[in-house]
Amino acid sequence: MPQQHSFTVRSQGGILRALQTSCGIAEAFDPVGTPAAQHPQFKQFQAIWDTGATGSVITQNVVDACTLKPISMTQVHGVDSSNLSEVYLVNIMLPNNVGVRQVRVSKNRLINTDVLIGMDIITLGDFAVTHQGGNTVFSFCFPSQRCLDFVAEGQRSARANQPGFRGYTQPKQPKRHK
Amino acid sequence: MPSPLQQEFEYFLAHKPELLAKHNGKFVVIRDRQVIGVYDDELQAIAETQKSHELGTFLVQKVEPGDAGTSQTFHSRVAVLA
Repeated sequence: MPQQHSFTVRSQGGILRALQTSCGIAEAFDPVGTPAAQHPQFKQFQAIWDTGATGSVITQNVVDACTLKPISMTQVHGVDSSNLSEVYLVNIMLPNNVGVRQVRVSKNRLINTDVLIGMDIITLGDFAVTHQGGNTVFSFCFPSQRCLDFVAEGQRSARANQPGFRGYTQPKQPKRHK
Repeated sequence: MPSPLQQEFEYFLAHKPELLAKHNGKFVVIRDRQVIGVYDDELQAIAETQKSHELGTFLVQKVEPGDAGTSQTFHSRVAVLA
């Protein structure tokens, strides 16, 4: 079974209006095939997690700080316009040393952040946002470990609350032959 | 200012049908509007091409059906398109 990598972000009391984490960016490298001493240094940035973005994005600030060079281009479609953007190949280090390698990210202008984590990364694993007691808890792990289904969970809970429910199905008594 | 890779990207899009027929699933390297390399792995494509050409002067693109590899969509307004 592959090793699980995960992290959890908890609000310091209250509801978070955006899912933000720190995030390290470095030019792409093979962490297994490259000696540790030759690994590029990760530069730290703030990232917003956005399920409305099909791919991840960096700003010119990240390109300059990490001295990245473009390897391709992509057609980017926004809410009310489209453009062509340069594409860079990077390794991304998420909180708790959760690393993702060889991610193709486009460059664009972002509001209040330098990195946008899109569905290309979110879909690598399980992504959960809960608000029990009015506090946001955001957790991510990869590879995927389970299926969260609140409907099925509710149905199981309803069945468990029915009178006479003992948490298991009563085995049928074998018929006795006279 | 247009990117130096724009002409290579336009070449890739214009020739995608024939690239798909020949190199589906591979990474092609395009420079000066011609394919100069075909590789199984993206990092290998970059490393090998960098031996003879400066990074940023060639395009590396996976050849695959559909437009998932050549387009991105943003449904929120965090990304501000220039």
